[in-house]
Amino acid sequence: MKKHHLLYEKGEARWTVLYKDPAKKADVLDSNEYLISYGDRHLLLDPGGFTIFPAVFSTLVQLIDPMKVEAIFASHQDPDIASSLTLWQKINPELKCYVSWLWKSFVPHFGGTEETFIAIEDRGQTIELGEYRLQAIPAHHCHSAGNFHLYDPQSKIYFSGDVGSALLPDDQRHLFVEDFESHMPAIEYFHRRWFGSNEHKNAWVDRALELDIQLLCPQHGSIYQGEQVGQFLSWLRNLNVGTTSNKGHMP
Amino acid sequence: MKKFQAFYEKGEHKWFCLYKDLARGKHLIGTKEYLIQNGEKVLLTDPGGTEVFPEIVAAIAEISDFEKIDRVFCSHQDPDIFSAIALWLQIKPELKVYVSKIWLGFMLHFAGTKATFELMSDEGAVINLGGLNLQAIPAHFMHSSGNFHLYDPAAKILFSGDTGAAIIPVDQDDLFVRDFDKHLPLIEGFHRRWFGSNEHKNQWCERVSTLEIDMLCPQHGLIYQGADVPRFIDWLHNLKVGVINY
Repeated sequence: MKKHHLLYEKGEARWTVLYKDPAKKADVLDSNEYLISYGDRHLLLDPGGFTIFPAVFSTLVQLIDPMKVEAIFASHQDPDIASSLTLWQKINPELKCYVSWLWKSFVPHFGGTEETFIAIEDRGQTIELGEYRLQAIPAHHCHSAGNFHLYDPQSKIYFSGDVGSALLPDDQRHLFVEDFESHMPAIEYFHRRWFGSNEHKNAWVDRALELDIQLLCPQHGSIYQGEQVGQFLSWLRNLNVGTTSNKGHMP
Repeated sequence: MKKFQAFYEKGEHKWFCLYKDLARGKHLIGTKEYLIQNGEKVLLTDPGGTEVFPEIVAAIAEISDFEKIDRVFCSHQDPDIFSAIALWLQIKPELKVYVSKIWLGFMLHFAGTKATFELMSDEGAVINLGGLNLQAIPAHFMHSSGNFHLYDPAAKILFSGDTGAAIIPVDQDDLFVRDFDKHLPLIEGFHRRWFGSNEHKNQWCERVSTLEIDMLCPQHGLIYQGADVPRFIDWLHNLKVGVINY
Protein backbone atom coordinates (compact mmCIF):
# COMPACT_ATOMS: atom_id res chain seq x y z
CA MET A 1 0.00 0.00 0.00
CA LYS A 2 1.08 3.53 -0.71
CA LYS A 3 0.90 6.59 1.47
CA HIS A 4 -1.54 9.31 0.50
CA HIS A 5 -1.86 13.00 1.17
CA LEU A 6 -4.55 15.58 0.45
CA LEU A 7 -2.83 18.43 -1.43
CA TYR A 8 -5.84 20.70 -1.94
CA GLU A 9 -9.49 20.91 -1.05
CA LYS A 10 -11.95 23.64 -1.88
CA GLY A 11 -15.67 23.06 -2.28
CA GLU A 12 -16.16 19.96 -4.38
CA ALA A 13 -12.58 19.93 -5.73
CA ARG A 14 -9.72 17.88 -4.28
CA TRP A 15 -6.18 16.88 -5.28
CA THR A 16 -4.78 13.76 -3.61
CA VAL A 17 -1.32 12.32 -4.12
CA LEU A 18 -0.37 8.66 -3.68
CA TYR A 19 3.33 8.27 -2.92
CA LYS A 20 5.98 6.06 -1.34
CA ASP A 21 5.19 2.35 -1.21
CA PRO A 22 7.35 0.73 1.52
CA ALA A 23 6.88 -2.67 -0.18
CA LYS A 24 8.15 -1.49 -3.59
CA LYS A 25 11.24 -3.26 -4.94
CA ALA A 26 14.24 -0.90 -5.08
CA ASP A 27 14.85 -1.29 -8.85
CA VAL A 28 11.30 -0.34 -9.79
CA LEU A 29 11.19 3.39 -10.48
CA ASP A 30 9.34 5.23 -7.75
CA SER A 31 6.19 7.09 -8.80
CA ASN A 32 3.57 9.51 -7.52
CA GLU A 33 -0.02 9.14 -8.67
CA TYR A 34 -2.33 12.15 -8.50
CA LEU A 35 -6.09 11.96 -8.22
CA ILE A 36 -8.25 14.95 -9.07
CA SER A 37 -11.74 14.71 -7.62
CA TYR A 38 -14.78 16.86 -8.21
CA GLY A 39 -17.56 15.61 -5.97
CA ASP A 40 -17.56 11.88 -6.62
CA ARG A 41 -16.11 12.09 -10.13
CA HIS A 42 -12.41 11.34 -10.48
CA LEU A 43 -9.58 11.76 -12.93
CA LEU A 44 -6.38 9.77 -12.31
CA LEU A 45 -3.07 11.11 -13.63
CA ASP A 46 -0.36 8.66 -14.82
CA PRO A 47 -1.69 5.64 -12.90
CA GLY A 48 1.62 3.77 -13.23
CA GLY A 49 2.70 0.38 -14.45
CA PHE A 50 1.16 -3.08 -14.35
CA THR A 51 3.40 -4.23 -11.50
CA ILE A 52 2.49 -1.39 -9.12
CA PHE A 53 -1.25 -1.60 -9.83
CA PRO A 54 -2.03 -3.65 -6.68
CA ALA A 55 -0.35 -1.03 -4.46
CA VAL A 56 -2.04 1.91 -6.20
CA PHE A 57 -5.44 0.27 -6.34
CA SER A 58 -5.48 -0.94 -2.74
CA THR A 59 -4.67 2.60 -1.59
CA LEU A 60 -7.26 4.21 -3.81
CA VAL A 61 -10.14 1.96 -2.72
CA GLN A 62 -9.74 3.34 0.80
CA LEU A 63 -10.30 6.85 -0.49
CA ILE A 64 -12.90 6.57 -3.24
CA ASP A 65 -15.15 4.23 -5.20
CA PRO A 66 -12.80 3.10 -8.01
CA MET A 67 -15.78 2.70 -10.36
CA LYS A 68 -16.04 6.49 -10.26
CA VAL A 69 -12.62 6.99 -11.87
CA GLU A 70 -14.02 8.06 -15.22
CA ALA A 71 -10.79 8.89 -17.01
CA ILE A 72 -7.05 8.52 -16.97
CA PHE A 73 -4.68 11.24 -18.10
CA ALA A 74 -1.51 9.70 -19.57
CA SER A 75 1.24 12.31 -19.93
CA HIS A 76 2.99 10.05 -22.45
CA GLN A 77 3.50 6.45 -23.61
CA ASP A 78 6.09 5.02 -21.22
CA PRO A 79 5.54 1.72 -19.35
CA ASP A 80 5.67 3.43 -15.94
CA ILE A 81 2.89 5.83 -17.01
CA ALA A 82 -0.02 3.72 -18.15
CA SER A 83 0.84 0.04 -18.59
CA SER A 84 -1.73 -0.66 -15.84
CA LEU A 85 -4.43 0.55 -18.24
CA THR A 86 -5.56 -2.95 -19.12
CA LEU A 87 -6.26 -3.64 -15.40
CA TRP A 88 -8.10 -0.33 -14.88
CA GLN A 89 -10.29 -1.28 -17.79
CA LYS A 90 -11.30 -4.50 -16.07
CA ILE A 91 -12.72 -2.35 -13.27
CA ASN A 92 -14.46 0.13 -15.53
CA PRO A 93 -14.78 -0.89 -19.20
CA GLU A 94 -16.13 2.60 -19.99
CA LEU A 95 -12.93 4.25 -18.77
CA LYS A 96 -11.42 6.86 -21.10
CA CYS A 97 -7.74 7.59 -21.50
CA TYR A 98 -6.45 11.00 -22.61
CA VAL A 99 -3.15 10.75 -24.47
CA SER A 100 -1.27 12.64 -27.20
CA TRP A 101 -2.48 11.83 -30.73
CA LEU A 102 1.03 10.53 -31.45
CA TRP A 103 0.50 7.56 -29.15
CA LYS A 104 -3.10 6.74 -29.98
CA SER A 105 -2.09 3.61 -31.91
CA PHE A 106 0.97 2.77 -29.74
CA VAL A 107 -0.56 2.72 -26.24
CA PRO A 108 -3.28 0.16 -27.23
CA HIS A 109 -0.39 -2.33 -27.42
CA PHE A 110 -0.79 -2.31 -23.59
CA GLY A 111 -4.57 -2.81 -23.81
CA GLY A 112 -7.75 -0.83 -24.28
CA THR A 113 -10.09 -0.66 -27.24
CA GLU A 114 -10.59 1.84 -30.04
CA GLU A 115 -13.18 3.65 -27.88
CA THR A 116 -10.86 4.01 -24.88
CA PHE A 117 -8.55 6.70 -26.20
CA ILE A 118 -9.16 10.43 -26.49
CA ALA A 119 -6.37 11.89 -28.61
CA ILE A 120 -5.03 15.29 -27.51
CA GLU A 121 -3.94 17.58 -30.35
CA ASP A 122 -0.43 19.10 -30.16
CA ARG A 123 -1.66 22.46 -28.85
CA GLY A 124 -3.39 20.84 -25.85
CA GLN A 125 -7.02 21.07 -24.78
CA THR A 126 -9.44 21.65 -21.94
CA ILE A 127 -10.31 18.53 -19.97
CA GLU A 128 -13.58 18.55 -18.07
CA LEU A 129 -14.37 16.68 -14.90
CA GLY A 130 -18.02 17.55 -14.51
CA GLU A 131 -17.99 21.34 -14.33
CA TYR A 132 -14.35 21.44 -13.27
CA ARG A 133 -11.99 22.49 -16.04
CA LEU A 134 -8.35 21.56 -16.41
CA GLN A 135 -5.81 22.45 -19.11
CA ALA A 136 -3.59 19.94 -20.93
CA ILE A 137 -0.36 21.89 -21.51
CA PRO A 138 2.10 20.82 -24.27
CA ALA A 139 5.55 19.61 -23.12
CA HIS A 140 6.59 17.79 -26.29
CA HIS A 141 10.11 16.31 -26.39
CA CYS A 142 10.42 16.79 -22.60
CA HIS A 143 11.26 13.88 -22.87
CA SER A 144 8.57 12.17 -24.92
CA ALA A 145 7.73 13.33 -28.47
CA GLY A 146 4.04 13.62 -27.56
CA ASN A 147 3.87 14.79 -23.98
CA PHE A 148 1.34 16.75 -21.90
CA HIS A 149 1.09 18.19 -18.42
CA LEU A 150 -2.11 19.15 -16.64
CA TYR A 151 -2.74 22.57 -15.11
CA ASP A 152 -5.50 23.38 -12.68
CA PRO A 153 -6.04 27.17 -12.73
CA GLN A 154 -8.36 27.00 -9.70
CA SER A 155 -5.90 25.37 -7.28
CA LYS A 156 -2.79 26.55 -9.21
CA ILE A 157 -1.47 22.99 -9.14
CA TYR A 158 0.56 21.89 -12.15
CA PHE A 159 1.09 18.17 -12.82
CA SER A 160 4.42 18.06 -14.66
CA GLY A 161 4.84 14.37 -15.58
CA ASP A 162 8.56 13.62 -15.93
CA VAL A 163 9.58 17.30 -15.72
CA GLY A 164 11.03 17.99 -12.29
CA SER A 165 11.50 14.28 -11.62
CA ALA A 166 14.17 13.14 -9.21
CA LEU A 167 16.01 9.84 -9.11
CA LEU A 168 16.37 9.25 -5.38
CA PRO A 169 16.99 6.20 -3.21
CA ASP A 170 13.73 5.19 -1.50
CA ASP A 171 14.91 6.23 1.97
CA GLN A 172 15.76 9.76 0.80
CA ARG A 173 12.44 10.47 -0.85
CA HIS A 174 10.21 13.15 0.64
CA LEU A 175 6.79 14.22 -0.52
CA PHE A 176 7.90 17.84 -0.76
CA VAL A 177 11.27 19.27 -1.79
CA GLU A 178 12.85 20.37 1.48
CA ASP A 179 15.61 22.55 0.08
CA PHE A 180 16.02 23.28 -3.62
CA GLU A 181 19.82 23.56 -3.55
CA SER A 182 20.25 20.15 -1.98
CA HIS A 183 17.60 18.64 -4.30
CA MET A 184 19.49 19.64 -7.47
CA PRO A 185 21.92 16.66 -7.54
CA ALA A 186 18.90 14.31 -7.58
CA ILE A 187 17.36 15.96 -10.66
CA GLU A 188 20.34 16.97 -12.79
CA TYR A 189 21.27 13.65 -14.42
CA PHE A 190 17.67 12.82 -15.21
CA HIS A 191 16.96 16.07 -17.06
CA ARG A 192 20.31 16.12 -18.85
CA ARG A 193 20.12 12.51 -20.03
CA TRP A 194 16.42 11.98 -20.75
CA PHE A 195 15.76 15.33 -22.42
CA GLY A 196 17.20 15.68 -25.93
CA SER A 197 16.33 19.15 -27.14
CA ASN A 198 17.22 22.47 -25.53
CA GLU A 199 14.89 24.24 -27.94
CA HIS A 200 11.81 22.31 -26.82
CA LYS A 201 12.86 22.37 -23.17
CA ASN A 202 13.16 26.17 -23.28
CA ALA A 203 9.83 26.54 -25.08
CA TRP A 204 8.21 24.62 -22.24
CA VAL A 205 9.92 26.75 -19.54
CA ASP A 206 8.60 29.90 -21.25
CA ARG A 207 5.09 28.43 -21.34
CA ALA A 208 5.22 27.46 -17.65
CA LEU A 209 6.50 30.91 -16.63
CA GLU A 210 3.27 32.43 -17.96
CA LEU A 211 1.19 30.38 -15.51
CA ASP A 212 0.58 31.03 -11.84
CA ILE A 213 1.87 27.79 -10.26
CA GLN A 214 1.82 27.14 -6.50
CA LEU A 215 2.66 23.43 -6.61
CA LEU A 216 4.64 21.71 -9.35
CA CYS A 217 3.98 17.99 -9.09
CA PRO A 218 6.22 15.50 -10.94
CA GLN A 219 5.49 11.82 -11.40
CA HIS A 220 8.80 10.81 -9.78
CA GLY A 221 10.42 12.41 -6.75
CA SER A 222 9.27 15.39 -4.71
CA ILE A 223 6.77 18.23 -5.15
CA TYR A 224 8.03 21.83 -5.56
CA GLN A 225 6.09 24.51 -3.69
CA GLY A 226 5.95 28.29 -3.67
CA GLU A 227 9.23 29.91 -4.68
CA GLN A 228 10.84 26.51 -5.40
CA VAL A 229 8.72 26.45 -8.57
CA GLY A 230 10.47 29.54 -9.93
CA GLN A 231 13.85 28.22 -8.75
CA PHE A 232 13.27 24.97 -10.62
CA LEU A 233 12.14 26.73 -13.82
CA SER A 234 15.16 29.01 -13.92
CA TRP A 235 17.50 26.07 -13.14
CA LEU A 236 15.99 24.07 -16.02
CA ARG A 237 16.22 27.08 -18.36
CA ASN A 238 19.99 27.17 -17.78
CA LEU A 239 20.60 23.43 -18.02
CA ASN A 240 22.20 22.08 -21.19
CA VAL A 241 20.33 18.87 -22.05
CA GLY A 242 20.84 16.11 -24.64
CA THR A 243 24.59 15.90 -24.09
CA THR A 244 24.63 12.17 -24.92
CA SER A 245 25.84 11.80 -28.50
CA ASN A 246 25.27 9.34 -31.33
CA LYS A 247 28.71 9.91 -32.78
CA GLY A 248 30.49 7.31 -30.66
CA HIS A 249 32.49 4.30 -31.69
CA MET A 250 31.97 0.79 -30.47
CA PRO A 251 33.17 0.20 -26.91
CA MET B 1 -0.72 -15.76 -37.99
CA LYS B 2 1.60 -13.15 -39.45
CA LYS B 3 3.29 -13.69 -42.79
CA PHE B 4 7.00 -14.34 -42.62
CA GLN B 5 9.89 -14.57 -45.03
CA ALA B 6 13.63 -15.21 -44.92
CA PHE B 7 15.12 -12.19 -46.68
CA TYR B 8 18.77 -12.99 -46.00
CA GLU B 9 20.24 -16.46 -46.03
CA LYS B 10 23.85 -17.55 -46.09
CA GLY B 11 24.48 -21.03 -44.74
CA GLU B 12 23.22 -21.15 -41.15
CA HIS B 13 22.96 -17.37 -40.89
CA LYS B 14 19.46 -16.07 -41.65
CA TRP B 15 17.24 -13.03 -41.14
CA PHE B 16 13.46 -13.54 -41.11
CA CYS B 17 10.88 -10.78 -41.23
CA LEU B 18 7.40 -11.15 -39.71
CA TYR B 19 4.94 -8.78 -41.39
CA LYS B 20 1.32 -8.25 -42.40
CA ASP B 21 -0.94 -9.26 -39.55
CA LEU B 22 -4.48 -9.40 -40.99
CA ALA B 23 -5.97 -10.17 -37.56
CA ARG B 24 -4.60 -6.95 -36.02
CA GLY B 25 -7.13 -4.37 -34.77
CA LYS B 26 -7.14 -1.15 -36.83
CA HIS B 27 -6.47 0.92 -33.69
CA LEU B 28 -3.02 -0.70 -33.32
CA ILE B 29 0.01 0.47 -35.25
CA GLY B 30 1.42 -2.32 -37.44
CA THR B 31 4.83 -3.77 -36.61
CA LYS B 32 7.56 -5.86 -38.17
CA GLU B 33 9.54 -8.32 -36.10
CA TYR B 34 12.90 -9.69 -37.18
CA LEU B 35 14.34 -13.03 -36.19
CA ILE B 36 18.11 -13.36 -36.55
CA GLN B 37 19.28 -16.94 -36.67
CA ASN B 38 22.87 -18.10 -36.55
CA GLY B 39 23.10 -21.87 -36.27
CA GLU B 40 21.53 -22.84 -32.97
CA LYS B 41 21.22 -19.26 -31.71
CA VAL B 42 18.20 -17.05 -32.34
CA LEU B 43 17.54 -13.43 -31.36
CA LEU B 44 14.25 -11.56 -31.79
CA THR B 45 14.12 -7.78 -32.31
CA ASP B 46 11.35 -5.57 -30.87
CA PRO B 47 8.90 -8.39 -30.03
CA GLY B 48 5.81 -6.15 -30.27
CA GLY B 49 2.82 -5.62 -28.03
CA THR B 50 0.68 -7.94 -25.92
CA GLU B 51 -2.23 -7.62 -28.34
CA VAL B 52 -0.25 -9.03 -31.29
CA PHE B 53 1.64 -11.70 -29.32
CA PRO B 54 -0.44 -14.73 -30.45
CA GLU B 55 -0.04 -13.90 -34.16
CA ILE B 56 3.70 -13.49 -33.71
CA VAL B 57 4.24 -16.67 -31.71
CA ALA B 58 2.25 -18.68 -34.27
CA ALA B 59 4.54 -17.41 -37.03
CA ILE B 60 7.74 -17.99 -35.03
CA ALA B 61 6.66 -21.58 -34.34
CA GLU B 62 6.83 -22.17 -38.10
CA ILE B 63 10.37 -20.79 -38.32
CA SER B 64 12.22 -21.91 -35.23
CA ASP B 65 12.26 -24.02 -32.13
CA PHE B 66 11.32 -21.86 -29.10
CA GLU B 67 14.13 -23.47 -27.15
CA LYS B 68 16.63 -21.62 -29.33
CA ILE B 69 15.22 -18.15 -28.67
CA ASP B 70 16.92 -16.96 -25.54
CA ARG B 71 17.39 -13.26 -26.26
CA VAL B 72 15.33 -10.27 -27.29
CA PHE B 73 16.67 -6.90 -28.43
CA CYS B 74 14.47 -3.91 -27.56
CA SER B 75 15.33 -0.71 -29.41
CA HIS B 76 13.51 1.34 -26.76
CA GLN B 77 10.75 1.43 -24.13
CA ASP B 78 7.54 1.97 -26.10
CA PRO B 79 4.48 -0.27 -25.67
CA ASP B 80 4.50 -1.41 -29.31
CA ILE B 81 8.17 -2.45 -28.91
CA PHE B 82 8.24 -4.59 -25.84
CA SER B 83 4.92 -5.11 -24.07
CA ALA B 84 4.76 -8.74 -25.29
CA ILE B 85 7.72 -9.39 -22.97
CA ALA B 86 5.33 -10.07 -20.08
CA LEU B 87 3.84 -12.94 -22.07
CA TRP B 88 7.19 -14.14 -23.43
CA LEU B 89 8.45 -14.46 -19.86
CA GLN B 90 5.59 -16.85 -19.12
CA ILE B 91 6.89 -19.29 -21.73
CA LYS B 92 10.59 -18.42 -21.41
CA PRO B 93 11.31 -17.28 -17.80
CA GLU B 94 15.07 -17.21 -18.53
CA LEU B 95 14.72 -14.88 -21.51
CA LYS B 96 17.28 -12.04 -21.63
CA VAL B 97 16.15 -8.62 -22.86
CA TYR B 98 18.70 -6.11 -24.19
CA VAL B 99 17.70 -2.51 -23.59
CA SER B 100 19.26 0.88 -22.83
CA LYS B 101 20.38 1.22 -19.21
CA ILE B 102 18.16 4.25 -18.74
CA TRP B 103 14.94 2.23 -19.00
CA LEU B 104 15.42 -0.44 -16.31
CA GLY B 105 13.29 1.22 -13.61
CA PHE B 106 10.63 2.04 -16.21
CA MET B 107 10.47 -1.45 -17.76
CA LEU B 108 10.12 -3.03 -14.33
CA HIS B 109 6.81 -1.19 -14.00
CA PHE B 110 5.52 -3.54 -16.64
CA ALA B 111 7.29 -6.89 -16.43
CA GLY B 112 10.38 -8.87 -15.57
CA THR B 113 12.95 -8.66 -12.81
CA LYS B 114 16.34 -7.00 -12.79
CA ALA B 115 17.84 -10.32 -13.96
CA THR B 116 15.68 -10.20 -17.11
CA PHE B 117 17.47 -7.19 -18.52
CA GLU B 118 20.90 -6.89 -20.16
CA LEU B 119 21.51 -3.17 -19.86
CA MET B 120 23.37 -1.39 -22.66
CA SER B 121 25.46 1.70 -21.91
CA ASP B 122 25.03 4.84 -24.02
CA GLU B 123 27.94 3.96 -26.34
CA GLY B 124 26.36 0.68 -27.46
CA ALA B 125 27.25 -2.98 -27.05
CA VAL B 126 28.41 -6.06 -28.91
CA ILE B 127 25.98 -8.98 -28.82
CA ASN B 128 27.46 -12.35 -29.68
CA LEU B 129 25.07 -14.65 -31.52
CA GLY B 130 26.82 -17.98 -31.97
CA GLY B 131 30.10 -16.36 -33.01
CA LEU B 132 28.45 -13.57 -34.97
CA ASN B 133 29.12 -10.13 -33.45
CA LEU B 134 26.03 -7.96 -33.69
CA GLN B 135 26.53 -4.29 -32.82
CA ALA B 136 24.05 -2.15 -30.90
CA ILE B 137 24.38 1.29 -32.51
CA PRO B 138 23.30 4.42 -30.55
CA ALA B 139 20.27 6.24 -31.95
CA HIS B 140 19.39 8.26 -28.86
CA PHE B 141 16.58 10.84 -29.14
CA MET B 142 15.36 9.23 -32.39
CA HIS B 143 12.80 9.37 -30.97
CA SER B 144 13.43 7.72 -27.62
CA SER B 145 16.01 9.12 -25.16
CA GLY B 146 17.65 5.70 -24.80
CA ASN B 147 17.49 4.06 -28.22
CA PHE B 148 19.59 1.51 -30.13
CA HIS B 149 19.65 -0.04 -33.56
CA LEU B 150 21.23 -3.42 -34.31
CA TYR B 151 23.84 -3.87 -37.04
CA ASP B 152 24.85 -7.20 -38.48
CA PRO B 153 28.18 -6.58 -40.27
CA ALA B 154 28.24 -10.05 -41.88
CA ALA B 155 24.80 -9.71 -43.47
CA LYS B 156 25.17 -5.90 -43.89
CA ILE B 157 21.73 -5.42 -42.36
CA LEU B 158 20.77 -2.62 -39.97
CA PHE B 159 17.67 -3.07 -37.81
CA SER B 160 16.69 0.56 -37.39
CA GLY B 161 13.77 0.53 -34.93
CA ASP B 162 11.60 3.60 -35.51
CA THR B 163 14.07 5.22 -37.93
CA GLY B 164 12.76 4.80 -41.47
CA ALA B 165 9.34 3.90 -40.09
CA ALA B 166 6.23 4.41 -42.20
CA ILE B 167 2.67 4.28 -40.99
CA ILE B 168 0.88 2.24 -43.65
CA PRO B 169 -2.51 0.50 -43.87
CA VAL B 170 -2.36 -3.28 -43.32
CA ASP B 171 -3.47 -4.06 -46.89
CA GLN B 172 -0.42 -2.19 -48.21
CA ASP B 173 2.00 -3.97 -45.90
CA ASP B 174 4.77 -5.75 -47.75
CA LEU B 175 8.49 -6.42 -47.31
CA PHE B 176 10.37 -3.84 -49.37
CA VAL B 177 10.10 -0.23 -50.48
CA ARG B 178 9.48 -0.50 -54.25
CA ASP B 179 9.51 3.18 -55.20
CA PHE B 180 11.39 5.52 -52.86
CA ASP B 181 9.75 8.74 -54.08
CA LYS B 182 6.27 7.30 -53.57
CA HIS B 183 7.33 6.12 -50.11
CA LEU B 184 8.39 9.61 -48.96
CA PRO B 185 4.91 10.92 -48.10
CA LEU B 186 4.48 7.92 -45.77
CA ILE B 187 7.62 8.66 -43.74
CA GLU B 188 7.91 12.44 -43.72
CA GLY B 189 5.26 13.32 -41.10
CA PHE B 190 6.48 10.62 -38.76
CA HIS B 191 10.14 11.68 -38.73
CA ARG B 192 9.34 15.38 -38.58
CA ARG B 193 6.98 15.07 -35.63
CA TRP B 194 8.31 12.15 -33.58
CA PHE B 195 11.99 13.18 -33.75
CA GLY B 196 12.86 16.20 -31.64
CA SER B 197 16.56 16.91 -32.14
CA ASN B 198 18.28 17.73 -35.43
CA GLU B 199 21.67 17.48 -33.74
CA HIS B 200 21.24 13.85 -32.67
CA LYS B 201 19.54 12.89 -35.92
CA ASN B 202 22.46 14.28 -37.93
CA GLN B 203 25.05 12.56 -35.74
CA TRP B 204 23.30 9.28 -36.47
CA CYS B 205 23.19 9.95 -40.24
CA GLU B 206 26.92 10.68 -40.28
CA ARG B 207 27.74 7.61 -38.22
CA VAL B 208 25.68 5.08 -40.20
CA SER B 209 26.93 6.51 -43.50
CA THR B 210 30.26 4.92 -42.60
CA LEU B 211 28.68 1.44 -42.30
CA GLU B 212 28.14 -0.93 -45.19
CA ILE B 213 24.38 -1.43 -45.27
CA ASP B 214 22.55 -3.48 -47.91
CA MET B 215 19.24 -3.42 -46.06
CA LEU B 216 17.81 -0.97 -43.52
CA CYS B 217 14.95 -2.59 -41.61
CA PRO B 218 12.52 -0.46 -39.58
CA GLN B 219 10.01 -1.75 -37.04
CA HIS B 220 7.09 -0.11 -38.87
CA GLY B 221 6.65 0.19 -42.62
CA LEU B 222 8.94 -1.25 -45.29
CA ILE B 223 12.57 -2.35 -45.70
CA TYR B 224 14.98 -0.15 -47.70
CA GLN B 225 17.46 -2.02 -49.89
CA GLY B 226 20.43 -1.22 -52.12
CA ALA B 227 20.52 2.38 -53.35
CA ASP B 228 17.43 3.25 -51.30
CA VAL B 229 19.52 2.95 -48.10
CA PRO B 230 21.86 5.95 -48.78
CA ARG B 231 18.90 7.71 -50.39
CA PHE B 232 16.99 7.42 -47.12
CA ILE B 233 19.96 8.49 -44.97
CA ASP B 234 20.53 11.58 -47.20
CA TRP B 235 16.86 12.45 -47.09
CA LEU B 236 16.84 12.20 -43.28
CA HIS B 237 20.03 14.25 -43.03
CA ASN B 238 18.29 17.07 -44.91
CA LEU B 239 15.01 16.85 -43.06
CA LYS B 240 14.22 19.40 -40.38
CA VAL B 241 12.75 17.55 -37.42
CA GLY B 242 11.14 18.66 -34.15
CA VAL B 243 8.66 20.85 -35.99
CA ILE B 244 5.36 21.22 -34.19
CA ASN B 245 2.51 23.28 -35.63
CA TYR B 246 0.45 24.58 -32.75
